[in-house]
Amino acid sequence: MMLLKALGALGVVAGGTLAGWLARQRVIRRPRDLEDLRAALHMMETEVGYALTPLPSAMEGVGRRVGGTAGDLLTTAGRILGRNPAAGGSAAWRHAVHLVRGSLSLNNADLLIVDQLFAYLGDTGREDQLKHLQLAQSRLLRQEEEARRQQAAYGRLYFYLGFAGGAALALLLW
Amino acid sequence: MSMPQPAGLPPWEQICAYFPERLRMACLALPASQVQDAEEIRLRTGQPIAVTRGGRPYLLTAGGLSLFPGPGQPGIRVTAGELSTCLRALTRASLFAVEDQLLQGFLTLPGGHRVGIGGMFFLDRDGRAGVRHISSLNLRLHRPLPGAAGAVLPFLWPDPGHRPFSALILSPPGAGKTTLLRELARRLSYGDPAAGRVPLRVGIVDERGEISGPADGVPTFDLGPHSDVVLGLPKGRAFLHLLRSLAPDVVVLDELGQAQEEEVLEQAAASGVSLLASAHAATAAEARCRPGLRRLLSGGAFQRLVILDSLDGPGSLAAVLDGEDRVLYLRPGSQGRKPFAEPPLRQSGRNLR
Repeated sequence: MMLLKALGALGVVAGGTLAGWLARQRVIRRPRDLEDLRAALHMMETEVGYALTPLPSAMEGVGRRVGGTAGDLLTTAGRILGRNPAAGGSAAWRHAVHLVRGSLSLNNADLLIVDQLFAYLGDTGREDQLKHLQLAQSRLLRQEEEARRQQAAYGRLYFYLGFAGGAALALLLW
Repeated sequence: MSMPQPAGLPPWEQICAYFPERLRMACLALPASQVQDAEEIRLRTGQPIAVTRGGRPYLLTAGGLSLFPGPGQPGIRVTAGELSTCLRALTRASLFAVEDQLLQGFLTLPGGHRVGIGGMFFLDRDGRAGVRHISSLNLRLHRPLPGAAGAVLPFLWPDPGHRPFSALILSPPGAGKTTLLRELARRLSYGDPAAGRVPLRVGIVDERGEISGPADGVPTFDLGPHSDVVLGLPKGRAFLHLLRSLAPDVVVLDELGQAQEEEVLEQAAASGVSLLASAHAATAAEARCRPGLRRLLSGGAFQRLVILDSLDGPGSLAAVLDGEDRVLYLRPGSQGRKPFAEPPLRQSGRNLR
């Protein structure tokens, strides 16, 4: 009986630690994903402003070049938009976010910036598109800076909190 | 709504595939007798769908097409959202990629249909035009004109031992100039062993993709095995590129209009290739009202003038003249009309009858 209780307590501590580790990974990954997303939008500027590549192909191509979570998201959204351009970029982006939600480190505020961009993307002329792309990049840069501060401040904290939370729960349940 | 897959469908259904659900259903519900000769569909924000047949603009109502719908026949009105949805489908959600084509006149869709826009435009500080807001779409249906080139070709290339004459095709908008050019390009490229006509290398200057109807840069129309297409460049530059790089026997180009283009053609007329070009004008006299065309015609750039109208439907051959306005062909029953001097009374299906 005692052995079972000890194993249970160990499981609770391990679970808490794992949750803390996952939260830490998200905090660590978020600045990198935001940087990738910003780089992708910068590449989109070239595709949209100079190569005049249709939006679905531009998104797929840039997504493949960038890779990572942000690249996958863009590639998926481009594929969805190519199948149904009438629905617009915003709908394609939301659909793509829904499909890869579990693996995302980006938070709602990050995703909203791109969602707002895609609400205009494709619907206006070239000059307007470039302005929207540049605006979204500067907003993502602010998010990225904030994400880096969070990473420095809370990266380890989440891990320790997970471990401590798990240990406290194990003691309470003992 | 899924990505339109127009190939294989009748022209009306190809166009309707780009419409949002409600408008598509309303258009597809029309009987075939009302749409088989439709020339245009116009979508205007807040207004009923308009369908042009035989040059007359009808409105689409719940009861079908009507010139003067009564109070009991509400029109099928287009909302701003529906217009945007349709525009996204037409541009593949990429207005920026086709903005220049739209500003120059038309966006060409796979299948050869054309889209024109109305709305609010702007000029930036450098004088570049842009689109700010689109409030109306004009979708012109493309229909092939089988056999149209067969009637014209003997006048353009009577002696297979020599190169074809250079020809200018004239007609008001919507009378089948581009379709005839495409058909002529195809026939010249294939050649005709029965008539002793060997295949020719055809260079096609297709600034806006109207002749070749490209999808991702590849022509969707059969232009023959010996045709090269230069897309996207202004006509003058494209013409010089064709001459230098692709050595064509015949150069085909649509809708002469700008003075610079005509200057290049003036020089090109003496470059040893045959030209097949088109311009908006109902008669030779009208064409001569435009300084650039007048210079080309009086300079002997074209040895044949082909005049089309819509009297018997788009692409009706009204007359063929030689370079000195001598009539080589006049449609039977047209005696008394002077295609080289006065516009005929009913020159186009677009005129009100």
